[in-house]
Amino acid sequence: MKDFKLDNESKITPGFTIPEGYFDTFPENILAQIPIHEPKVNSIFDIKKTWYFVAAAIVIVMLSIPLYLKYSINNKSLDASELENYITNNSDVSEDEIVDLLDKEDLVKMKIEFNLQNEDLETILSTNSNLEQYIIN
Amino acid sequence: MQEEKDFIQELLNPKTQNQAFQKLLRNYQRPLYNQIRNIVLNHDDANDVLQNTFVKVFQYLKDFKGDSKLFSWMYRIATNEAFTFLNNKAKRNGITSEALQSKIVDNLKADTYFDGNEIQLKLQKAIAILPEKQQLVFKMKYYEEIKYKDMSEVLGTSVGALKASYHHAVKKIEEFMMTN
Repeated sequence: MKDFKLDNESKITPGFTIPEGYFDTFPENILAQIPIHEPKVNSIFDIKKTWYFVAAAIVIVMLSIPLYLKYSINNKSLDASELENYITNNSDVSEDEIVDLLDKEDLVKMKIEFNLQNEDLETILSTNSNLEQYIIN
Repeated sequence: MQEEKDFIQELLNPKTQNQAFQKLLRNYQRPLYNQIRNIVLNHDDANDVLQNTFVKVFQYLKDFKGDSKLFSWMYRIATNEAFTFLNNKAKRNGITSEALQSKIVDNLKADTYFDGNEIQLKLQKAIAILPEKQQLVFKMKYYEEIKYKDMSEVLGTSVGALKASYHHAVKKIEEFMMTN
């Protein structure tokens, strides 16, 4: 019986082998089996796409500015009383000049129906000393 | 230790998880494969068990308390998975785990992924006759050269008991090698 001591022998390995490239493909197999979070990678195409969106947005904003200004001016309607007050208080234009500018159509628009009684008319005529002068002219 | 804590945080953080898990695979696939292969002996079975091991590691990583080293925790999962696999296989074949082990060793010579010489095969046969725990201690110490301290963390056995186990295993193996 030959004496056998493990420590006296050279190291005995298990003798197993593995298929070539096994450990190269193993991680992929595992990653395909587990619900791991994929890191979000911004590819060059994604970056390009983002810049296209930015450029499109800038063009839209630039086109919108004139339209906005146009509509914002049109929408600002002048208040008639404000205009009248302005002319009354600030204008150098005389009443006669304004009257000269009025045409027939304007006069029709300005026509006001007075429902005056004869007594009222007589009173106006008798109290207004200038009327005679206007009639003569 | 802090480095390991940081690494575990990377494994749990969805932003860094993918890269961290790839690193974990790269670092541990070989030692865990060896541990599993030494138990189940066959490559295809070892591949199945290794896959299950990493799936479980990923699954239970959030519950890892950090009480032991990541290495020990993963070794424990791999070892348990390997023995569970063997027990289930034995049940399916209607034989005991020991009988299955002996059958696998007998078939090693015909295994495509075993190219051991006569003495390597003889040592495998000698190990197969040992009790399960002694087999495991011997394989981890002799084949993988794992330190008793680390082995103690993996197997939950004191260093003294592991040394005694290894000593008994060596005696029986030497006896087998001389008489067979």
